[in-house]
Amino acid sequence: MKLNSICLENYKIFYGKNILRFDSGVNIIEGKNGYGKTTIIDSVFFALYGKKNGNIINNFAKMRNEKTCSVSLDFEENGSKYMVKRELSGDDEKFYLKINNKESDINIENIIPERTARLSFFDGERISSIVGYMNDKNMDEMLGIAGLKNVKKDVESLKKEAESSLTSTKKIKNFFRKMGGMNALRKLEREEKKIKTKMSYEEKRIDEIKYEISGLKKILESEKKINEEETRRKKLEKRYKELSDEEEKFKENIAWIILKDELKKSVENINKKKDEIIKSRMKQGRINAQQELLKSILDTGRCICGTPVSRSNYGKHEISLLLEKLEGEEEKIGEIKDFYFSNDDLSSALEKVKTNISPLIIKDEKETIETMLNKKCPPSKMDVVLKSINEKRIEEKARELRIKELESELADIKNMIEERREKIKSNKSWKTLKKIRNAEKIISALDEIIDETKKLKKMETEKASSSILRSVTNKPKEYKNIDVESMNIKNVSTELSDGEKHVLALSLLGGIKKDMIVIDAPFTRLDPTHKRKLLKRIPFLAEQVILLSADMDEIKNLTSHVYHIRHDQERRVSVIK
Amino acid sequence: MKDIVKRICEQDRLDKNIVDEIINCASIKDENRRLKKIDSLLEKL
Repeated sequence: MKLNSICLENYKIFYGKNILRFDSGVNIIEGKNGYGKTTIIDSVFFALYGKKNGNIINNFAKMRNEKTCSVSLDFEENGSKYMVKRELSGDDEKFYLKINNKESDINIENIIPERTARLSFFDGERISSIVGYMNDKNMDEMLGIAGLKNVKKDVESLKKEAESSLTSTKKIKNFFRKMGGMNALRKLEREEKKIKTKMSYEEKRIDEIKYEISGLKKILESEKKINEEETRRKKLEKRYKELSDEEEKFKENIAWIILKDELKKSVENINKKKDEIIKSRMKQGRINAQQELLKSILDTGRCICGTPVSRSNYGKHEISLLLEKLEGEEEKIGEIKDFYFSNDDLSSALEKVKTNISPLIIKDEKETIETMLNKKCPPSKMDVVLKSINEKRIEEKARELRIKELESELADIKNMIEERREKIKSNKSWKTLKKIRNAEKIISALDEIIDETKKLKKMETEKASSSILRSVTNKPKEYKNIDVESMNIKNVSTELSDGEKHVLALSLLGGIKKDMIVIDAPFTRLDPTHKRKLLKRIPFLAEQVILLSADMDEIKNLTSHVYHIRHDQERRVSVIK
Repeated sequence: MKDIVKRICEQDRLDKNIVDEIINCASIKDENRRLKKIDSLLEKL
């Protein structure tokens, strides 16, 4: 709650219209005892809850025949703007409420319960009363879990209401029997889950295949390069063979050119020898004929003409000499016969010449090709890779088809489930039953949330309160930590003095995160040291702090936003300046 | 508190948005309005 303004009209000691406007931060209302400071706090509770003690219409106003008094409040709570006005005229009491400028008949107790409002208004004389004990409801308000508890209470009452409206469990059982039981639905749901799992498996596999294909494509690229290299090598090998043939031809041509003269001589020699051989063969023929003739002459002792040898010019001795001579001639002819120019000699001569011939251009190119061919090149697996890619694509398509099948199966099952669910949902008893179950779940969830939030807020509050206490107390070594549950200082056995309780109460209030705090006579019972230390802490007690004090000196430095209550002794009325 | 609500919703399979809405009902001061809202949320859950 954040108070924007209070308007008092002829309320108790205040005569006429008195308006107080408040800002965020510290606001001060100064007035001596009996001038009406506490009346301002009372006016808030009158406006909100109609609280009044005795006569509340200003006496001076009554004397002037003004018989109506009223208090108007303008405040904010949880982002909404509220305007409250309570008017009393004789016994006639009227209450007006506007929420965000719209009239409303909501009970103000539902907006801000009185006990919640009381946690923001403190009398300095009695502020220490919060030390040592705080009832559960106030503690819940203080820790910010009252709202959650209200929600839990509402859920519980809704659950109870639903339970009492539930006709009979027998009817529900019959209904489910007709539906084929909940098990049938569960079975369908299990089936749906299975298909979804299968689908997700197929989808996962397709992703894997796609990934594998992309990997194979990369391999294919490198295999293509290897394949290109292989083709190039084949071309090079072909070229190498061509070069070798060319080289051979070239060498042979050159060799023949080189051997040309030699060959001429050889041919001449051959021809010469050939003539000699022919001549010698002819001579041989003659010799053979002569030898045969001489031998027959020697054997028969007669010439072919019949003349005895002893009568011819040649005797036997001469014939024998002639035969010896002819044998010598025969040996010479044999030597001539053995002479020839063999082809083997020519080939070896050619080879000898060829080895010394080296065509440089061909040699260089051949060497380059050899170097290239000597480099190792792995055999290309492009065909294998292409085959794998095709196989993967076929598998991918098959799985896509499988997914389509599964999708149609899933759609059928979903329709069946939906039909059954619709029937179940439209059953009134089922709705109630579901509501009860949901309420149970929410109650258990809220229990846990409330418990956890309480722990958290308690811890936060204790930390903040303890920090304030340690900074303001005169016994920082002794008074270290505050326990919010017991609203007291931890591990302190001795009873606290009223002043110490006052300090502890303000520390506790400072630790609780609040929108607004109103304190009447904040430093009563406090010694100067405590006062001085607490003064520094006052602006941090809440977002909006309203102090009501009789002693302006002690708080004058806190803010410039100050109202003064002035009193007219003659008319016995107070007015706010 | 957000973490607590998230954990509980996951644990009890509750729609977090609706549970958040139910928790936000704590700020509705009007009891009747609050009850009505919570009732509709329980049916929606």
